[in-house]
Amino acid sequence: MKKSGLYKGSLQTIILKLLNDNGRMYGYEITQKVKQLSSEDLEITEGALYPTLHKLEGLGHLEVEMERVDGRMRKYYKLTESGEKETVNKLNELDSFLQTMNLLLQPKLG
Amino acid sequence: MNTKLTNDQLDYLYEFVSKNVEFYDVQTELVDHMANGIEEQWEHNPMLDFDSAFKNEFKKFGISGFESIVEERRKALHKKYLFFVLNKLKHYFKLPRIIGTVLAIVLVQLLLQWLSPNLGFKVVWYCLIVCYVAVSVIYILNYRKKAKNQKVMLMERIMFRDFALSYMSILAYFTMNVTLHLSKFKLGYSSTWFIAVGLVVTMLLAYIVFIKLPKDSEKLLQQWYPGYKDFKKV
Repeated sequence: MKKSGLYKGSLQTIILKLLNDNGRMYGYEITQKVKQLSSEDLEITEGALYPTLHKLEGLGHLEVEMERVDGRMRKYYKLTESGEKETVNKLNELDSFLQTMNLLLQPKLG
Repeated sequence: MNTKLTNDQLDYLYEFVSKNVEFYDVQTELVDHMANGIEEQWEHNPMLDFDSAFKNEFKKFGISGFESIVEERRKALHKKYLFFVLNKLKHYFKLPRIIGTVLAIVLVQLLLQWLSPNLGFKVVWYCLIVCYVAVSVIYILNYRKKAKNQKVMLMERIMFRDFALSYMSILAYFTMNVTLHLSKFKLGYSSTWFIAVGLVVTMLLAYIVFIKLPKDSEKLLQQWYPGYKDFKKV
């Protein structure tokens, strides 16, 4: 990840959420989508993307499909049932993290 | 003007990636990624030559290049397979089989007490070691022959070779320990239990690693990687 290390801990969440919204996706497509959604602000490096995808696959949260496109094989990832549950968990986790950070950074006066 | 990669350019990418990455599934994913990146560059700059576009893409993988991707994938898939194996073992050990295993251990222990410190036991023991080693070596050699000149997926390597190697190292550890016990004049009571448990467990493991798992793994590969057969042909 080119941007701050703060994103690093959320990479799994970002990928899970993207797959949840878009159905199946391939690696390159994910990097482009992240770039587009973040208005080119966040760029996922190849060295971070694939290990994360493979880790999620290893944990059984993603399954793969192979398809021939433009004369080459393409590997698509999609969420499994446990992946869908994990997405909800991770989003909740992130949400409570954001709330806590908000409280810490903007304490109510009085 | 460039828009899409030609077959020759794709072949070049495969050749380049395969110099650094042995496994076909990882190669395919990386080639597709780089190909997409190059085509994306051409969308903005159609006059850019292939070599420069290729170099730009490769640079994105950083100093460790593809190596760390393969290593991380190996770890992740190892975990996935281990999880499957443990789950399989959990289902395998239903009550009748647990009773069978315990009975086998007791029987072996009784046999050991009866034989010990008879020379006969030592002979049986060394024969068993030879059998174990022979089976393991034959298995690995067979795998090497089968995998030679063939495209191999990382998961296949883990399923059909790495697990067998792990088993062999457990076996080597156990054998060394038992052989140390054997060098004593008389086998103690606790030693006979240790050997009985070890013997039955390694036998079971051998059955699982060399016979049961390779059979199930073929099916599992199809299930985990649908389209994997066509994908090997490409």
